[in-house]
Amino acid sequence: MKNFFSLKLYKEGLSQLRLMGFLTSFALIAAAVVVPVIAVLTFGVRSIDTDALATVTLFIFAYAWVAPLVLSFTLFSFLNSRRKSDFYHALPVKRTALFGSFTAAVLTWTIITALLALIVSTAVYASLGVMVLTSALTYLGAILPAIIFATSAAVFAQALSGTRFTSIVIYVLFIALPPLLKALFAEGVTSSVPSIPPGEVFQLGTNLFYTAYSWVDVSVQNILYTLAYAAVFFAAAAVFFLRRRSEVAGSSAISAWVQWLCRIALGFLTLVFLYFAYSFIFGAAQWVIVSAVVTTLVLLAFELISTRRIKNIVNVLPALAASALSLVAFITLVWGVAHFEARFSPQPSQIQSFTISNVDEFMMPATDQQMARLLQFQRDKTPISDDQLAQLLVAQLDEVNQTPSWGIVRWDSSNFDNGSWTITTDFNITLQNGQTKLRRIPVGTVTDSFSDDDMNWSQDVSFNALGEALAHYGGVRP
Amino acid sequence: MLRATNLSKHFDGTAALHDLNCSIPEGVVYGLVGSNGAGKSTLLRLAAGIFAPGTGQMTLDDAAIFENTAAKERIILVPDELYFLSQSSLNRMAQLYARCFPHFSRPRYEALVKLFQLDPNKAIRTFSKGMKRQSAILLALACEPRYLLLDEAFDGLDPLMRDVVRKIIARDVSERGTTIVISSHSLRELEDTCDNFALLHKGSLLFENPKADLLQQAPDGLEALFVQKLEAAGYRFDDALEEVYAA
Repeated sequence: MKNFFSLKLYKEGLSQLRLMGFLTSFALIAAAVVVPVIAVLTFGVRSIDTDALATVTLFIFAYAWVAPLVLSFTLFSFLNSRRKSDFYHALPVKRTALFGSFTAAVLTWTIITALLALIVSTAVYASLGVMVLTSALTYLGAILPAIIFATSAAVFAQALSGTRFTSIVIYVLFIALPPLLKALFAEGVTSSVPSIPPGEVFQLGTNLFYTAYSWVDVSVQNILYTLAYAAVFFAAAAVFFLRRRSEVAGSSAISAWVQWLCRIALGFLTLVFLYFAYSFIFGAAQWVIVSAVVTTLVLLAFELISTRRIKNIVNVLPALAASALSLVAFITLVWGVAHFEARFSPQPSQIQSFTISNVDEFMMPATDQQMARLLQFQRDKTPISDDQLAQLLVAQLDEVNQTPSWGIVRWDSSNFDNGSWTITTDFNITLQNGQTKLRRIPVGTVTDSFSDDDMNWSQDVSFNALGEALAHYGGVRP
Repeated sequence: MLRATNLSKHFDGTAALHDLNCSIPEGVVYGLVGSNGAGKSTLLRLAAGIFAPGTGQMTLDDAAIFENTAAKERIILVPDELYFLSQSSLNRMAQLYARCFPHFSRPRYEALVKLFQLDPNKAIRTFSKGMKRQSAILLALACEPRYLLLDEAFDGLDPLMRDVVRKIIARDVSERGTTIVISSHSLRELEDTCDNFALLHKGSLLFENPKADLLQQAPDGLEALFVQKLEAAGYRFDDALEEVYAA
C-alpha cells in the first residue's frame, strides 16, 4: 500500500492546495448560496420548478471542468521545472506513492467542495421552503464521476508533458477527441446505413463529464462507464509518471514519440473540426486549401510555443501529412464499417426472432390493452417469431438499405416544409446463427396539413404493411 | 559505501557521464572536482536517486539507489539550483522535510536555525542568495543524513558562513560518521576540507585518490596537479588563446 499512497505526502498535497482550493471552493459555495436565494426572490417558492437545482449544478458542472485541471496543475507543477522536479524526485518516496498521494489530494479537494456546494444549496433551498434532496442525490451521481474523470485526464496529460502549455493541449485533446471521433464515426456510419439508429453506434455508455449538468443521463451504466474511462486514464497516467525521466521537466513532452503523437492528434483534431465546420460551405478543393493552411498555422504555433525552438518548424509539414493520413485512415475505417453493416440483409428464413426496442411516439395503440401489450413487448424484450412479420421486416430493411439518403432526408428541412416525416420502430433482429443487429425501420408516415377553412392543423398517419402487421403485437393505429 | 559501477548517463544523445567507476567510503569528506560540464552535478543527482542510470549502476551498500526509499532516506542532496515551495518560510519547508524524511530532527533544526541566525517565519523568497543557501544546508543537516551531497556548497556564502559550514561538516564527519560529498569548480574551496578527491572531465573520472596520496605526487600543490591532469586530458587553451590574439 505504501508503494501507492503515503499519508504524509497526501497531507502535504492538501496543504499545498490550500490557496487554490479555497479560492475555487469559495467561488462555488458562494454560488451555491446566492443562486437559490436569487431564484426564490425572483420567481417565488411556488413558481420554482421541481428541478430547482439545475442552475446551481451548472456552476458545479463548470467547477468539475475547471477545478481538477487547476488543482492538479498546481500540485504537479514540479513536472514542468527541472529544479522542482529534482527536489520531488529526491524525496525518499516511491514515484507511484507521490503520484497516488497527490492525485488523492486533488480528488479530495474537488469532491469535498462539490459535495459541500450541493449540501449548502440543498440546505438553502430547504430553508426557503423548496425541497430538492432527491434531485441533489441524482446530480451527485453525475458530478462525482465527472470530477473523477476530469482529474484523471488532467493528471494523465501532465504525466505525458513537461510544460504547462503542452499539458493543456494534451488535456484538450483527451477531452475533445474521443467524443468528436465517436460522433463523427456514428454520423458517418448512420449516414451511409440509415437503418442503424443514430446514437446506437458505441452503445457502451455516456461519459457523464460531458452531461454532468443534467440528470437525464445519470444511470448505473453511465456512472460505471465514466469511472472505467477514468480508471484507464489513471492507470496510464501512473505508468507514464513512473517511467518518465526526471530530466524531461521543462521539455515539451516526455519523449519524441509523445511529441509526434501530440502534433498528429492536434492536426487531426483541427482537420476534423474544419471538416465539420466548413465542408458544407466550401467545395472539396477549397476545403483542402483552407484546412491545409489553418492546420499548418495551428501546428506551427504549437511547435513554437511548446518547444521554443525555431528549428523544430521542420516537423510541421510531416505532421500535417501524418494528420491528413490519419483522417484518410479514419474515413476509410468509417467507410469499411458502414459497408460491413450495410451487408446485413438476411433472408426471412434466417431470422430466428426479433424484439421491439424503441417505438415512435406515433405508434400509439388504439386501446389500453394494446398499449399494455406493446409496452410489455418493448420492456421485456419479448422475442417475436413470426414468418409473415419477418418477411415484411426484411422487405422494409432492403428498401431502406437501397435508399441511403433516407437517413438524411428524414431531417431535411424541405421534408418538414412538406409537413411529412417517417414513423420508425427499432428492431433487435436475431439470426439463426446467433448474430444480433439493431435496425431502425420505417413503419409509416405522418403528414401535417393545414385547413384554411377551420384554421387548424391536422395530422394524417398512415402505416405501411409492416406497421399494419405490428398491430397484432400491440396495435399501431392512432 | 556509495559506488558507481560502469555508470553512464546521456541527455539528448550527449554523454554526461561515460563508463564511470568510483567508490565513496563512509565517514569521509569527498571532493568532486572538475571542469565545467564534467558531469559532477549529474553524478550527484544519480547518487541522490533523482536520475535513473543510463547504463551501469549507482549503489548504496550494493543496493541500487533509484526508487529505493530506504537508501534515499539517508541521502540528501543540496543542489546548485535551490528549490523552496513558493511563499514558504523555513518552518513550512521544515514541515515538508519532516513529512518526507523519517530521521528529520526538530531539535537539531531549531539549533541550526539559531546558529545560522535566520528568521524561520519569514518567506524564503525574501532571503538573499547566501541565506537561501544557508536555508537549504540547514534543512539538509536537520534530516541527519548518512550521505550529504553538496553541489557548489559554498556558492553565495560569505567567508564567515563558509567557515561555519566547514566546521559543521568536520564535526558531522567526526562525531556522526556522516559522509559528505562536495562538488566544486574551485579546488581552493575544497583543499582544506576534503579527505578524498575525484577529478572528473567530460563525463569520465581522471583519478580518485586520498588527499595524502595526492600530496605526495604534488610538490607544487593540488591545484597544479589537477591542472596538469586536465591538460593531459586535452583540456588546454593556450594555443586557442594565442589564435584569439593573433586574429
